[in-house]
This record gives sequence, C-alpha cells and structure tokens, in this order.
Amino acid sequence: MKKYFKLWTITGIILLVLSVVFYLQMGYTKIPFKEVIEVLKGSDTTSNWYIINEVRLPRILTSILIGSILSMCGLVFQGVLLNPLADPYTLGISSGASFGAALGLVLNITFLGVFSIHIFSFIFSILCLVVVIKMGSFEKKMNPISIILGGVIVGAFFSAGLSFLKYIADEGVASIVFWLMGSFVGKSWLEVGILTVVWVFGFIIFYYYAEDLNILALGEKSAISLGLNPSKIRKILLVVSSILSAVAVSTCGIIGFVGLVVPHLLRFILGTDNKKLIIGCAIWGGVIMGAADNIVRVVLPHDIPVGVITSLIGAPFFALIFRKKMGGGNLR
Amino acid sequence: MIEVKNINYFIGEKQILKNTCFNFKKGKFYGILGPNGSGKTTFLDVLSGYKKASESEIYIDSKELNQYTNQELAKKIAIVPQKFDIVFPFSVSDILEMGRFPYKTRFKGLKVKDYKIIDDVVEEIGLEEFLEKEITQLSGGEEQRVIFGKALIQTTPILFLDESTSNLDPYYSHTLLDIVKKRVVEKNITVIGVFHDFNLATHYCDEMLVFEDGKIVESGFTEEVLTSKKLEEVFRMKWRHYKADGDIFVFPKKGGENEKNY
Repeated sequence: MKKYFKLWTITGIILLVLSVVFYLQMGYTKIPFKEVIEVLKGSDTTSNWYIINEVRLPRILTSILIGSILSMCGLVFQGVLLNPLADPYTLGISSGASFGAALGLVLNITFLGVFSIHIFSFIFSILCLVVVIKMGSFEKKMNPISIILGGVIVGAFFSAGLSFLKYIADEGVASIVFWLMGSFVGKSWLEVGILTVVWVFGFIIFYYYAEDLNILALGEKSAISLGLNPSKIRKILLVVSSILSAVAVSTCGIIGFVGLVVPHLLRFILGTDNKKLIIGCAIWGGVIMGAADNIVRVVLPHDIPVGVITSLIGAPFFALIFRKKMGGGNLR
Repeated sequence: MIEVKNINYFIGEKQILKNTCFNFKKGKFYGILGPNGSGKTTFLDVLSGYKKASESEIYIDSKELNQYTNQELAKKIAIVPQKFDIVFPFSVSDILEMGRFPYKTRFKGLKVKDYKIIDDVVEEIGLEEFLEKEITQLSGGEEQRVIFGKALIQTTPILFLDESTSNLDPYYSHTLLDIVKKRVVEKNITVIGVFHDFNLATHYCDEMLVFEDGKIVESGFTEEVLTSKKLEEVFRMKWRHYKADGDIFVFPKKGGENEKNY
C-alpha cells in the first residue's frame, strides 16, 4: 500500500474538489448541480447565489482548511516532540485560547471590533506558547519531555482559570461553552482568507523541513551526527505549528481528535516518511473534516458543533484501528 | 587527524573532563577503556560536537572544531551509539538512506552513487532480508546492525563507536568490527571506540587510552596498556595475562586478591 502515494494524493485532490461541489448542493435548500456550477463559474443571476456563495462555500472551505491545518500541525507536533500522542493542543494552546475567549466574553470586550473574542483568544494562545517554550528550553536547547510537561502545566493553569471564569460568568456560561465547542457555523470569506494565508505559510515551512523531521526521529545525538541542528529546527517548527493551531482554535474553537488521528491513519497508509505525510495530511485532513462538518450540517437534524462529532466518531474509530495495528506487535 | 589540545567539561559544578588532551593519528584503530563515569562517552560527545565544552581546543584535519558547521562535521565523523530509540516505524531502507543525508541537497533525491554505497554496505553487513521491515519490529541486535550500517554509509574518515557492540552476540560483534577494521586498513579511516570488553578491544585496537576521572591516565600500544600497572589501579582489579595466536588476553584474578590491595 505504501507505494501508492501518488494515487492517494490524486484521489484525495479529486475527492476534495468533487465533495465541495457535492456539499454545495446539499442542505436545507437543495440546489441543483447545474446551478451550483453556474455560481462557481461566477454567475450571480440565480436566486441561490447568496446561499451558495456567502453561506455554504465559506463554511465548507473553512472546514477543509481547518482540517488540513490541524492534521499538518498534529503531524509536526508528533515528529518534533517524538511523541505519537502529541496533537496540536499538546502545548496547552487550546486551554490558552479557551481562557482568552472566555475572558473576552466575561469582560464583554468589543473594542477590537467584531473579532474581539477571536483576537483575545489568539493572544492568549500565543502567550501560552511563549511560556511553554521558555519552560522547555535549557541553555538554548529544547527538550521534548520538558516541552510536553510545560504544556501540561500551562494547560492545567488555564483550564483552572477557565473554570473560574465559567463560575463567575453566571448566565454567560452558555455563550462561553458554545464558543468553545468547535463549529463552522457562520464562517465568512474573511475567515477563509485568513486561514488560506496561514495554510500556505505553514505548508511551505512544513514541507521545507519535512526531511529534517525524518532525521529528528533518530534522536538528538544521531540527528546532530548527521549534520542537523535539532534545536533550531524544533524551535521553528514548534512556533509555526503553534501559530497555525492558535489561528485554527481562535477562529473555530476546539475541534478535537483530527490532529491526532489523521496523521496516524496516514502513517498506516503512506508509511513514515514525513515528506509524503505532510502532503497527505494537508489533503486528507481537509477531506475528513469537510465530510465531518457536512454530516453535521446536512444529515443531522440539529447543527451540532462539529468538534463534538469528530471526537465522538474519531475516538472509537481510532481505537479500533489502533487495536488492529497493535495486534501486529507494533505499538511504537 | 584529531588533535585534542585541551577540553574542560563541566556538568553543573562537577568537572567531567579535566584538561584532556590527545593526538589521534590517521588510519589507526583506538580503543578507550575506563570505569563507568570516567568521561569516555562525554569525551566522544565533545569530539563529535554533540556536547559543547566550556573550554576546548580541538582540531580536526587542522581546523578548529567550532569552525565546522554541523553538516561539514557530519561528513567527517560518524557515530555508532550503544543503542537508539526511534519512535516511528521507519523502514530499514529509510534509515539506511538517512546515512547519506549530509551529502544530500534539499528536495533532491539520492544519486546513483549514493545508492551504490548503500547497496555495498547492505551486502557487506548482510541486511538484505531486513530492508523492507520496520525498524521498530527488529530485535535489539538486528537494530544495532542497521545503525552500524547507517554509520558506514555516511562514509566518513572518522568513526566513533560508543560501546556499539554491547548488544550484539560474539558473531556479529566480530563480523561488524572486522568490517570496520578492514576500512581502517584499506581506506585509512580513523576509529575511536569505547569498549568494556577488553579482549574484544585487544583484538582490533592498534592503540589504547585509559580514562580515569576525566583524564587520560595511560595510553600506548594495546599490549603495553593491557599489561600496565596503571590498568590494574584504574579498575581496582588484578589481571592474569595470557598470550595466544599473537593476541594478549586479560582475565580478572580470582576473588580476594582484588579490591583490598588498592
């Protein structure tokens, strides 16, 4: 199976394009295929132009971009921290983002415009990142274990802070809880634009360093003896993937499990080479998240936050696959 | 080849290497002996650029160690560690190809020449049957042979062995060290190996160094070092010496005579 990288890539891209067209037809108002194509071609004469162009398309693209970003970040975190259990939230970025958002909601901050809460949440996740990296670095060297530990500590701190905010928010709790549950409802072209920019930025950096990530897997000593500068590469990759995750969390809330599961699924299919995996994650992360969100949007009677669904379906599914793989005596 | 004029290395307050100096010549097989914690591994770590000493003056091919970039150094020195932990299930051929990483241009594949080098080493060590296997599925000994292979594929003029054969059975220890020795003789590479098995070391080393408490306390030709009084002092043991087939063998004297005399 591992030899079919090109096939998987091309299939993924075709699937992605087809699924967008397909999803656009689906929903409360069924829109015929022809009309969707007309709108995509640029025609704005049909009555469904608004639904397609301003409601469905941005939401679908946002979900795909977020899926792609979270999967790539998950892969990079696992590689950099040498830990198969790492995901985009390992450094406590989600806790920081949640705390920031909740603080914004409780203090009713609006002076930063419509996106005040998002900006607040982003600032706090970056704050988290800075603290964790400071905690995890000794003498300019980064130790994966202390980074993870730093993430746990900072995460615990901000989780407690979040609980406190919920406690004093009283009736505002509902809005905090709802904000935190990841969702793509009401996303506009602005989000699509921001996410596209960070996606491109992230993908270029990740792809550039993908081979180094392979070498890093040999451990610090072997990586150095092969001519790598592990500390520098760790720092660059951690910062970039954290910024990407922070943008993802602060635009769409916490969407669990995608960043952990997708890289592992792709490892089963494509092997361990990070050069292939980063492309695989970029494409298939989008495919999977797009599918998840459209199940939520179209199939389910209520628009349940997609973050709930990804974890509800993702966890048992992953458990199943992992069990099967472990049966082969290959846990590591 | 490697001129160590001075190293002072501290961990916190503790000084691990004290004014250590030595001159390694090209085309020789050096063995490092010494009790646990005497600074052998740290010495190799400093020479390979993995650890930065607070004070050091080391020349490799007449160029100061700190003047080398990591990549340049990777073309000079390869290391076979005692053991290595890899988390992700890379295939053996992936790992072996990583040995050519220092020579590779980013975004470009390996050249025909690189694959030739890899194929030769695979044949020499006998890794054919493992190539498609995942490294995480191999036994400790098999994994160690792959790591040996990766270091040889790096084709460096200097090779460090850090207790590299301690996980291997006698057959593979000797096979691999034979291959290394062949490169010393034919290609004039320099090997520095840390050993705990004296007799294995004797079999391969041209010269030996003895470490004690961060200093090189004895050095010279293998036979001289092995029979020296210093070796008994350093290890707090008395040895019997035997000679057979031109090699010298050492064994600890039976209980009672050890320890209390020193």
